[in-house]
Amino acid sequence: MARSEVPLGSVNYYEILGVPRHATPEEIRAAYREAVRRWHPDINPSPEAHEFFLLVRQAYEVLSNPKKRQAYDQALEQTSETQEMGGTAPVGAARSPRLRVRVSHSLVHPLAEPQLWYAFWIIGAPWAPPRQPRPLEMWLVLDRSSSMRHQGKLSLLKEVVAEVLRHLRPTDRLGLVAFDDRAELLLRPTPVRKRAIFLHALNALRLQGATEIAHALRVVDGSLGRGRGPSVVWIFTDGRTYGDEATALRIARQWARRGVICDAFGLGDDWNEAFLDRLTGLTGGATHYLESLAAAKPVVQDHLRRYHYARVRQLNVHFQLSRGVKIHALYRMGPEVAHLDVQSPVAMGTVGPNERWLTLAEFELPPLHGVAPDTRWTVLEGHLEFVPFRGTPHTEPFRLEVLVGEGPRNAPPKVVRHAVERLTWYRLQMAGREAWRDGRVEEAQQLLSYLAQGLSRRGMTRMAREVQLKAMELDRDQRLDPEIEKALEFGTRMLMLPANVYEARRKYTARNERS
Amino acid sequence: MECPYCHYHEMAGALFCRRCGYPLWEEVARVEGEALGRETATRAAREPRRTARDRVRLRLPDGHVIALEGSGPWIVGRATTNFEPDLDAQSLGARHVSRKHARLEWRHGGLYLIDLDSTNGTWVNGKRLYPHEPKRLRDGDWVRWADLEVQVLLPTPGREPEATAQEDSVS
Repeated sequence: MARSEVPLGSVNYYEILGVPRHATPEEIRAAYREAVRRWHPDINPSPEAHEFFLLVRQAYEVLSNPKKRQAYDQALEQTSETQEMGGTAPVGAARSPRLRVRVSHSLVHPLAEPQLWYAFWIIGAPWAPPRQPRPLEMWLVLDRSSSMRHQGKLSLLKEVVAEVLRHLRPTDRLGLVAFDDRAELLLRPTPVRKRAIFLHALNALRLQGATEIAHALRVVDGSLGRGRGPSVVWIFTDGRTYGDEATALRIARQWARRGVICDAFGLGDDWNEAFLDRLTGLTGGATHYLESLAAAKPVVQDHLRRYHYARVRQLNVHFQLSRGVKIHALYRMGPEVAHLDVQSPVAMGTVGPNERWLTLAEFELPPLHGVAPDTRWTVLEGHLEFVPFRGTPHTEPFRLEVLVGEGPRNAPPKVVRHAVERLTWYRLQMAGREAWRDGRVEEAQQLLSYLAQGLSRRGMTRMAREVQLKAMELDRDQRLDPEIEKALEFGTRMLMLPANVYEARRKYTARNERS
Repeated sequence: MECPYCHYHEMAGALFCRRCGYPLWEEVARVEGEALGRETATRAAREPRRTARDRVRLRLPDGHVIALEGSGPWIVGRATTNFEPDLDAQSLGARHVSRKHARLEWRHGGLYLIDLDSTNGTWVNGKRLYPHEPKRLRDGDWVRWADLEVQVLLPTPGREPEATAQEDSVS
């Protein structure tokens, strides 16, 4: 039935109505009425709501008829047994039709030692994108430290800003802040109708001093409004900020609570990606490497389309881990890749048309040998909080469980394997660079050539060849160009994107670099 | 669990070796898959893909039926000197389609239509699509790209042999 429906996956009729399996006919009727009030096409005009409404009716038709319900219960018994083996996530109390979870194994063995376990979330937005683009309030925070002079960084920055201006709408408002070790408000948020004044301000940029980000964020914070549309702050920098990281992160946390999203773009080879990752990750944003205008264009366009047609202001994932469970790594893999702080709530930013949030978590489960066989063991519980542009947030609870028991299992689902493999590559690259920086050249070389082997195993021969070459260069002159480091990191990071997005960006860049 | 490739001692439950990227899950799946009495669950051991995918057909207003070649995605549009869509709507009599008007593609076992921000729009059964918002197509749906309207004919889902028996108007 609902198997083929994209957003619903393995959700059954009880889950659709949000009632327990033993619900009385009265409870089912009440839940149906409630669902109709929420999902009827006359009330909720989004196409997704319509699809879901049809399922609600279908569910009610079956569950309200004692005979049909009995037959359905029997069928459900059987499929739940087979699904258990198939790696479909047992999402308990899944009143959330927007959340689909795939796990590495839904049956885990009761081992005396800790074990790794993976979950991949696919989360859809509860609301359709707007028909008209939303008015953005956008801030560009521009690094004007003297180092911007080199390697054509300033001219690349200007080209990218011009590209941003090209894709903003007259109803958007844009503010400009420039910073070195001080910050200067160049332009308050101004309607983008008059593009010339922005270009003028940009051309008047004088390079001086060092990089200190927190001042600039404070200036933005002082005049940041809460508009009818998304509030977005983009940081462009080529340097490392020293001493004011804590302040910057504190501002980012406040922004996350207000639904302000912050993205960062690094220029050149000496910017601090770990810090910017953290900063942007806290707000639901992402960090990108500005390699060239051709590489930046599809990223700028994707972001602006997402913000113009944003379906929510922000998604916050609140969660609580069960005792003994750890999360080793938490990555957002769509719509943009970001390394997330494992701290509830996690801000996930927004999605545009045709986009969903994708998240991979690597768990460490504690020793489970004391657990009685065939227990449903809760790994984490929480709720999704979708913050709209107006009105109160919409929350949906979720729970993630595993079945503890003995016995053979099926292979992990493909989507989980794919995601974990990309994560493994990303980590290999990180480990390789770290080994090199610590002077363990041979190990670095080994790790990078493992990465190259993995890439070529999956048919990414061009990238595999590049990585292999880097590994060989390491051996020869014992140094790794910092620019190559950035290219390695963001090259493998991009692989974590959904395959269609990755391909689209890669092709766009290749086409434009040629011309 | 010891990695058979680099002999790194990886934690239980790991899918890939963190040291060398070796797909450890394949080993586990082989052992446990045999215990399940099944073929190995690796992709190579699986059946070939359904061929029904290859047959998306469109019925034109004049009753003619054309089949789309390959397994997609297909760009619907208007050919220019340096761009050739998979389905050239102009050659079918349309005059107001955009260069890259819409895209048809298979996803999750269904056929989806995505309007590529076309000037004159894409309609399904009389409702205009949002740009870039995929819309699942069902057999018999009427699709309109600007001034060209076609009916989508899909293979009946499922593996039952009757699906082929229903084929009557293969062009």
